[in-house]
Amino acid sequence: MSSVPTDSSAVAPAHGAAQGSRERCDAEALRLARAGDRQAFARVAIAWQDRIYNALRKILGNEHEAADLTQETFVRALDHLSSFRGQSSAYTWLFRIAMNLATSRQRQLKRRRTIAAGQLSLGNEESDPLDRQANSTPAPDRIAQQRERDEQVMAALNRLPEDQRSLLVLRDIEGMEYQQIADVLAVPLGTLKSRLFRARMALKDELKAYFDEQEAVA
Amino acid sequence: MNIRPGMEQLLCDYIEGTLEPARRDEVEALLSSDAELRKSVSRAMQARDALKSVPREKAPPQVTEAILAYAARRSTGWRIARLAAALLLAASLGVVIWSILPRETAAPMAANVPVCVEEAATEATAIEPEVLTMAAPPAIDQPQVQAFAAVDLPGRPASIIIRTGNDPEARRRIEAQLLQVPRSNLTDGQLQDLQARLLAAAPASEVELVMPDTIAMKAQVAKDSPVADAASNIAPAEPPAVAMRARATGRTPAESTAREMRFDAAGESPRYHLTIIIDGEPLPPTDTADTLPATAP
Repeated sequence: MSSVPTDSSAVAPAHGAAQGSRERCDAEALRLARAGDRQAFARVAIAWQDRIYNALRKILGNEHEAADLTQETFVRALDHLSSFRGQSSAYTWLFRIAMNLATSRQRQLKRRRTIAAGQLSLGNEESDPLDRQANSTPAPDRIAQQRERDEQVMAALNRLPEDQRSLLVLRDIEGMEYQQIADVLAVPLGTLKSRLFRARMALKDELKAYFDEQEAVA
Repeated sequence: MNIRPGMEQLLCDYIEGTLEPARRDEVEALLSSDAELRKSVSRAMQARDALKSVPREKAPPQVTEAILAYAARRSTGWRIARLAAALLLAASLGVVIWSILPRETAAPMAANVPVCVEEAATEATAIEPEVLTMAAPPAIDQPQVQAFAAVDLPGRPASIIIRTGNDPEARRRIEAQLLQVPRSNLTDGQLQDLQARLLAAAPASEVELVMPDTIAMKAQVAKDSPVADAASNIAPAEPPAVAMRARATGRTPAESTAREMRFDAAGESPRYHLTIIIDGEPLPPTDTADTLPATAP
């Protein structure tokens, strides 16, 4: 009888030397899952769900959407287990599903916002929830400096285009290697680096007021 | 700030700290001569560090539960599909044997068929050695199964089997969860939710949704098949017997501590059974009526 720990820390994906072992373990688990072993799939899901949720949370800027799409990622994975050939790692395969879902959801939200903006253009200047988040004023006296910085960074991130946001999240928050990001987003390595640099510049620009303030204080 | 083509990739590697020393010196020479670019790169690095330090967030527990519940639901679907394929295969095999063998030898062969059927009911692949000359069973969808077996396949699970092994702590957690089960007709969603909660409470256990009607379907197929007499020995009468459950786990009823809780619904609603088999050390006899809330909602 196999065991399925529900605490992802017990099966936390490893980096470096242990990563190959983790990948083999995941690939074997997905093979078993394809044969109908639900506990094998549960182990993979529990191992990666937090990282996928966290990445989606940062990309979408909304916890409910992130929870919804995390669930949907594993539903899609389970429904399309036969498409996992083991050519990439389970990790990049799952992230590719998650990123595709995030892109689709962003398009839906954008269309919805466009329609809403068209309908409410005379009376509502705040049609974008991300804009509202960015424009909201935190209470500095009650929020620690670190938290304030996190909020500013997340707000700046949320103002970036979705493709740049995904790149930065995968690289800086998820800690993926270049090649893994290239696999997930299906772009050549050189293109990826150029886009990553531009995304960094865009984030830096979005944080200009914050940096200026910090430099003035210093 | 003008960045010439090719510089973006170089600067990206510089910010990431992945440049080889010679290229790094080249970039730093450039930065020392361009204050605006130097400031931009410096701020980009600060932004990167700030982004890296943003706290990670964990998936809410309900996401885990939903994923596990979906996996369990899919697993039940696979089991039905495999069972249906195996039933067709076993029945076809019976027909073939019945039709090609002389009458006087048919009876002894038929007596062996239930073994095939029994194995098929547990695992389709288990009978593969018996049917080496036959093609792999075709994929069958639910309407085909229903048409063949002349029974309606319910779209819902109707029982939960729990195997905790010998872990007393797992049993305790399972029973604590079961105490919260409403003593009433359980909906599909409630059953799946319960299954997810049981799995979360005792991860080392097996918690399985079972559709008793698949057993009834087996009996139906067996009755209609040429091996009905022999097959009737393994076709339990309604309701699905605990003995059948125990046999599926490779144990006799005496070796398992089985308790059955019934949730009867009024009117035309289906009647659900929650059968609990705890393998290993028999538990002291327990009246489940006493361990569950006495009032129906």
